[in-house]
Amino acid sequence: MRTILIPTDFTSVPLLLLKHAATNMNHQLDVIFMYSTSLSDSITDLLFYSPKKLIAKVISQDFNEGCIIMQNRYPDKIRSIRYEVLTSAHSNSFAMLAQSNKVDEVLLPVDYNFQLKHLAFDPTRHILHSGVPVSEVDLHLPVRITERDLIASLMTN
Amino acid sequence: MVVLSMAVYYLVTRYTFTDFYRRLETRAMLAARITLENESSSSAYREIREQILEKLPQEKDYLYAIEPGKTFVEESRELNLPVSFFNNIVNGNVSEYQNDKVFFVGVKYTDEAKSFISIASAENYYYSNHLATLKRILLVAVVFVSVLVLSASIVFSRYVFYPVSQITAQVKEIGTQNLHLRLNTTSQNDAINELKNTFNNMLDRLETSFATQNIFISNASHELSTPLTVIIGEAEVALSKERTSTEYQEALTSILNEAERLERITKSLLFLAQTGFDGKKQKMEILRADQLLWDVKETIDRLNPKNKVFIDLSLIPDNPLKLKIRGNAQLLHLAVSNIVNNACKYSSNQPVQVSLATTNNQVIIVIKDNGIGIPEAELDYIYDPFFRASNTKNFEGYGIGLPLARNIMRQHLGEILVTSIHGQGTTVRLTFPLEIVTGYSIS
Repeated sequence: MRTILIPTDFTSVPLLLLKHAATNMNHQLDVIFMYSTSLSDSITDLLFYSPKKLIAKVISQDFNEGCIIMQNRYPDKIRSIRYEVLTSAHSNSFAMLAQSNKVDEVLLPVDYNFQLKHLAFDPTRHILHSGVPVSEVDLHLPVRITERDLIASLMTN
Repeated sequence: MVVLSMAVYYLVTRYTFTDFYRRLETRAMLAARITLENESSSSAYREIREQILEKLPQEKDYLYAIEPGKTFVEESRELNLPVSFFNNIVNGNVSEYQNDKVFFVGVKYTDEAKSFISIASAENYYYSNHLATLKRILLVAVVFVSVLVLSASIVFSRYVFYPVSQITAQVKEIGTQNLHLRLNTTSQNDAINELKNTFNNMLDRLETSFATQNIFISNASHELSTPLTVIIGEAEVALSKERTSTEYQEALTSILNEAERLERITKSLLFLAQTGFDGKKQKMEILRADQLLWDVKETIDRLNPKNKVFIDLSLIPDNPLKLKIRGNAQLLHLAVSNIVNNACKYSSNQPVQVSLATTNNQVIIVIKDNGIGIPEAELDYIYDPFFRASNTKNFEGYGIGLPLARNIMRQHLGEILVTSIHGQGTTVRLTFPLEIVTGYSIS
């Protein structure tokens, strides 16, 4: 059994990484999608901070369905899928998050620019500096224009 | 409203009468006391009467002594009162009598030795004036409120039936020329919306059958005319001059071949007509989505042998129960093969990828090509019948396939989503509701 962490921007790329992991790894997988975002400065937002709500705000119906498609396809391999929020742009905080979740491996796409919305940031630098084992996956993605149909690109790439 | 007004009027009248009689009674008592009591108390009563009691219009007092044997006939005639009025007083009761606007009240007043009848009369100002005003007010109120209620109910009924009349107007607009029009539905979940959706569904079915007929006719006439042209050509060439018998034989064989082809086509048409759109209720059955794709692939292979359709089943679940959809096999086949055929056509037989996946309640088919795409500005119109995108001039087509596919998807409670990048390709996503099959079955 292996816990893998996939930094996510809720496009098809993290799902394609999951697909890659499910097809190429021989372990049962606990999958963590990590969303990295700074927190807003608003006091009320901080007071009512809830990672669940934060994720619910940015996750799309299609992404959820994509997860279900993958779970349906690999019911034995993908044991669980859950979400974590990285709120601090600091290598240490990522290392701590990885440690507390017992992450065995981080999957990173090669040559990919995260689609950053709101206060989200690209965690690649912090992941590489944290010392957690990283495998970089080349998805051979075509030159990307704005994504229109997440499920379609998950199914056809 | 009328009953209420009448009740109000009656009760107010009653109250006014009683009240007025009470006032007259007081006056009658006072009048008797003023006349009959000794000097000091009588002046006190007079003072009360003049200072406290209001002077009534036409106020008059009468005082008669009661003597044994007296009949009061004269008095009654004088005052225009019935005799029973007096008899009643003699018996110790208070008598009341009304003569038009003038009211009479009589009481029995007993001095130390003698008894008297004291009668007070006055014109009832309330009766003559106030009640008339009340009557007017009530009448006006009844009329006013009736008008108000009437107009309000007309407005309200118009408001209530507005959606219905709107539907009527919209449905009237839809004819055979513009069957693609639909009623505007709202997100509210009410009866009107349900009605609209029912209408829309009916229009979907109508439009599908119209479009199917159109496609059918154009395809059929094309298919039928080709062998006929060959037959006519052969015959004309053979007849143009004297031929050897071998040449005639060749010509006849060719004609026979084409005639046989014609027969095959008409037979298959007959078969299609018998099995498919024969006006009966479409048969819905449980299908496997992957089987549907293989059937489509087979058809496309036959129609267009140069196609490069790849069916990608890498994402289908292990559990075959999660691939079941409910639908009419022929219609679904028509819809999917239309889309796949388009993908092949508009990408000039470049690879077309057909993928299948399922979520917990949906079966998703994605058809992706690397063809000419659809200009973004025209994406809104692709479902209009006979609409063809501006970049499709070099391709043969009627602009019927996609609307037909969408209507078939609608009939199956599915969705169709087309995304496209001009010049790079088109992706069509078909979503079907997953049929929950209880129990285990292998098909």
